[in-house]
Amino acid sequence: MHDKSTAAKFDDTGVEVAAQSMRESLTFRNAGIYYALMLIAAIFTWWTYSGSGIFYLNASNVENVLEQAATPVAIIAIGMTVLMVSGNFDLSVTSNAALSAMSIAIAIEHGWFGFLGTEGSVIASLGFGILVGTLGGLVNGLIHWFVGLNSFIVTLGSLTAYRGLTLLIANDASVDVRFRKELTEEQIANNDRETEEGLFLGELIGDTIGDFNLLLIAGLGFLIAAGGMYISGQGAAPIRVAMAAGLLGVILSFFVDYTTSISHKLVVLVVLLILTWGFMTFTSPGLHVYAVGGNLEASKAAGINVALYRIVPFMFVGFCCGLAAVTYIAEQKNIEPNLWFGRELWVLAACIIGGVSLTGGSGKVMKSMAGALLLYTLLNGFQINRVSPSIQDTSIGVLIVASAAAYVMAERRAAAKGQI
Amino acid sequence: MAGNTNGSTSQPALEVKDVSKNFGAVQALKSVSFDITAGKITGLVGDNGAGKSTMVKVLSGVHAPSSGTLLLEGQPTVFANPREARNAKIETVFQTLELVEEFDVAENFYMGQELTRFGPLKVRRTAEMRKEAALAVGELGINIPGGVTRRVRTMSGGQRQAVAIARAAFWSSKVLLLDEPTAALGVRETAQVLELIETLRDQGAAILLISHNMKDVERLCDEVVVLRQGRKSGHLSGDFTGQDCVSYITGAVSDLDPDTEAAGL
Repeated sequence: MHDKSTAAKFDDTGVEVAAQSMRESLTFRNAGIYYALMLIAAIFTWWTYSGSGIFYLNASNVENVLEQAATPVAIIAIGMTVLMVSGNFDLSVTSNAALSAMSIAIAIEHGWFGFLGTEGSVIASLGFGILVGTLGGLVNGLIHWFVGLNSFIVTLGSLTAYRGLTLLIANDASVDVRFRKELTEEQIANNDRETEEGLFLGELIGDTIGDFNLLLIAGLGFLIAAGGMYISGQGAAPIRVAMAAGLLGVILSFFVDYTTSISHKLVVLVVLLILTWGFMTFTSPGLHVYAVGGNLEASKAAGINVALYRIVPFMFVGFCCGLAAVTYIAEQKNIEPNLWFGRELWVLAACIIGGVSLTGGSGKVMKSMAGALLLYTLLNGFQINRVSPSIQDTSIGVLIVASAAAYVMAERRAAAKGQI
Repeated sequence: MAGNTNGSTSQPALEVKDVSKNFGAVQALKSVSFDITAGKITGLVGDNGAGKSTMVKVLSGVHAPSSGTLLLEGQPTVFANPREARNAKIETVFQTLELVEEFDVAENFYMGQELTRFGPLKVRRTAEMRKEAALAVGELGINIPGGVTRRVRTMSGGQRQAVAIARAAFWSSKVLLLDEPTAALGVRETAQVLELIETLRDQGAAILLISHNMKDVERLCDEVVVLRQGRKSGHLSGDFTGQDCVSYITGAVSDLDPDTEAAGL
């Protein structure tokens, strides 16, 4: 049954390894989501070019897709992946994010943190929103763990409750997001209306962080990842893949002008992604998240604090909801109470397309990220090619089921071959 | 694995003295005494409901005894929880095995006690843990194709059992409690697990084997404690057969005087 692996492999320290060989890490089962993403990008490139002569994968459109995907779906999907790995999930995410956003808007509107000066009040209001999101997650987690309710039921309730709270604090109306600057004597004397009305956050911090070559950024990202894998003593094959991709990106960036302006939310997304990926992949607490999702009893027997590892992921999702709210507010002038209504299903879809198990114990943040990008590549490509919304929705629904089916079949085939 | 290789039988690794356990009005264990000795395999047999599981739970710190004492290397010991029993180097392999299927052998070995570096960052020392686990597995002569980076979910029942036992032995240098290690296995896999248990005995571990399989008991055990209705009804050593055990288990033969037995009912 195991004749294919009889030629034992050994790593640098002389330990026999069954770990992913280069070939295995490139199988459909392990890298299928990345192939699907490339395939869809290729299809749209051909479709768009033959239709309107536009190069679909131009830098500003790529940045466009990344931005559309980032808030709220990709940012929250990172938290959702961690939560799903730990064995739970959260339906209340976008309600929680809307509540966070509304809390920020109201804190600003009422000038709760005005005593801290303009900069201080910006930071405090945004921090307050993240705190609200984290608390929303904590409440879900506490009810799930201490009452012993299934997370589906708990978050089905908070999905509605958090939305209701949002409407309540907003008085059923949208709220403007303006930071009031401290007025100078002169402005008051001149009755400077424009200043009095305050500034939107985007005007305070600028819309973007500047122009960058996407290839260079992606290349550096891969090199950082390779470094992380090397330091933590991972297998050689993935390190080589990451190194090659990183060097390719950096070298290409000298020849290909793939420059576009980078928004704040992309920075937030990338930093959150890298930190979460590093935590889940390399650290011992990260492994414990997989352990409690994989076998709760065994984790308990191994002395892992299972309550902690079941509750904190809920808080982390809430934290991500708060972050999504912050990145949204940085670019908006007012917040609607029904913000992102129904979008929680997109977050779950991104995770499922990325191959995260609904029963816990397995899932990768990078793949959920790719799942989110896949969804928004489809959406963006359809819009560019003027596909009707009904066909868009149908296609995305088919994609969700098809990808889940592909995972199940790939698992079954590998199991039949005795590979897993 | 730091095996206790002195092999001296002067002092038992674990002495069970007059241990009783009540659950309300139900007396699950009544004044049971026996020793578990380094380098020996002690069998614990009995019919369903005879008190075997309760005894294992008392020894592994799940239940506290209602009365009686446990002497660990001569010292009276009380376990408030399973963690304390593990810290005292008493490891238990339950029938459920407590392995995470998505994890490889090394990850299961170190689960909850990973070696880390960079202080609070807690980055796992993956290579080091693999090396240690491979060493331990190699010492026990366990052959797992693919080695310690093989995922448990890809393994057979016998391989899983071997991994669970090897993990227990890896963390315990004193006492191993094995609950029905061959119950779910086929003939060939049973033979491999029995060999593993013998290897552990030869390396000086004190082993308590709970089993329904009298062939295994006959082959492996140096002595056998028979429980019947919560009491120790027999204690066999030297030349005994599985059939002898069965006689004690069914009550056809008993060391208890008939009056006590009648009163116990």
